Amino acid sequence: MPNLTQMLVSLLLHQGDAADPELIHWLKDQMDEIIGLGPWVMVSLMGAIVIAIPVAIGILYVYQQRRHGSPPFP
Amino acid sequence: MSTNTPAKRPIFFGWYVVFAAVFIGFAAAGARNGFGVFIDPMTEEFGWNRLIISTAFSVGVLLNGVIQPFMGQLFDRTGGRNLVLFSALALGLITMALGFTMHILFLIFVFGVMASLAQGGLSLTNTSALLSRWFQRKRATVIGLNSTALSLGGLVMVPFAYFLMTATDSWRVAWVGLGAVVLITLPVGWMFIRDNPAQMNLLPDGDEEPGQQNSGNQRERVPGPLEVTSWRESLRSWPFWQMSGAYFVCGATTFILSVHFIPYAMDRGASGGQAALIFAVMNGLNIVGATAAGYLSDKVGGTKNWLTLVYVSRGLAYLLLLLTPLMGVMAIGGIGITVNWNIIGLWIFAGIAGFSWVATLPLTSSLTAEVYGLRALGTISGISFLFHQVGGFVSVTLAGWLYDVTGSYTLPFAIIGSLLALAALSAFSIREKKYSARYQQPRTVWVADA
Repeated sequence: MPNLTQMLVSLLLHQGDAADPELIHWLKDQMDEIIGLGPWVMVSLMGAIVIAIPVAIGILYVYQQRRHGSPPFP
Repeated sequence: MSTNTPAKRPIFFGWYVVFAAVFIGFAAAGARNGFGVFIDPMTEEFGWNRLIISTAFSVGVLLNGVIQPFMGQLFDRTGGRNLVLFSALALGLITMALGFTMHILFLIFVFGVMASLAQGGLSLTNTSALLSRWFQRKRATVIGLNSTALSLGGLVMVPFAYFLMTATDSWRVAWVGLGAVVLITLPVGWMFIRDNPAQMNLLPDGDEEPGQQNSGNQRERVPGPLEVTSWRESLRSWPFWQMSGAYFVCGATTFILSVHFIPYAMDRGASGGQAALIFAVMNGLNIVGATAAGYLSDKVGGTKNWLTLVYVSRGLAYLLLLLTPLMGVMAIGGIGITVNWNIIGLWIFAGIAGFSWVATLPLTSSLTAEVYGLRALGTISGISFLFHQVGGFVSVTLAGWLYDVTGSYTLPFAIIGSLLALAALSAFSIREKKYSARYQQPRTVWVADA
């Protein structure tokens, strides 16, 4: 069944490009050019932001609960 | 000076639930969209071709749509919190396990099957159904905010994976890093994801009295005539098919862009970088579009009209995309400036389509909640989402096939784009005022008289 195989092959090829490497390469190049920091610095910065935001929200919540005299989790 | 000012109320817990949902969605989207980062290094190391590695992704796309109704049902039955927490734990560990890939079958099974199952539990349809329980008056707004997780995840987590891979010179470490970020969402989910406001002795929207409105009176919420206790009942009514039909077209017209826009733009003369920039701008505008659509729907009302507007504007964008090349390259008389409509058309398209890309999600999800109620919302939204994914799968495949046959994207874009007229008609024909709980006449009791 060469037609069926061909169709399946074509189908898979067309479905597989959603995460486009070209876009990712370009984004990385642009960030390199604009920010000009090394990859470790970028990883540390992004990692710190990813961790800091939920920590800040958690602290805000606990602070508010204490201020209103409520237990953090009823 | 008076000291009798009322104590400031704490932030409504529902907003913390919104934050947790966005954060979890952000990490989950990053774990999925980051796949593109790994294509080159993995194919290089294992000697796979593009088709082989694409299989893992396409299996995931299909499975993600197929399992959504079942995950929605699980969500409705379990309440949501346990499903979300378990799925986040599973997705984190599974993503880390991808760092140990040694065979293509491992990648297909772990990324295509296992990760898709875990992601089904964290899907936007599930978290939107959860947020629908926490908010009534601001429902579309918070679902709009929740939808931004998809774009934020792509914009932040994908470069993060890339930088981590470059820094460590190892794609394996980058997979483990992505998985670790997903695991960071666990304590956030544990703290803030709750099935419904009643669990925290609260009311939706942070109201102090049931059905409280800003005007000071109390309004008893009246359910819509189609409110269901089982998802099966929804299949027997028109709004479900009108929304799902339109959602099919939504999937068809957005997936085709995700996959084919960059090659199409390059066919029209854009450089790789230019095409990628236009695509990135379109992605960034999603965030604004989704948030604005939800907010406007809550503030102004007429959700189906906004939904119609979104489909009409996307249709207009497709039309302009196809018509602008006919204007070719024009020289502006005497001042030495040439206007390349091939490229300008792409920018115009990105501007309009970007706003409308994710905007359908808050509008469709909130309208579904208003019409069918909350009891089977996860399942009903999951079935609608299946239509969306099938639409996407069909359009991507059709576009690829037609490109191979005709050597151009014009015909597939014209066919898929023209479906937007039907989607707009379908959305506009929903009898929202008749079926939505929002428009049912409430019984009003004046607080002063009560």
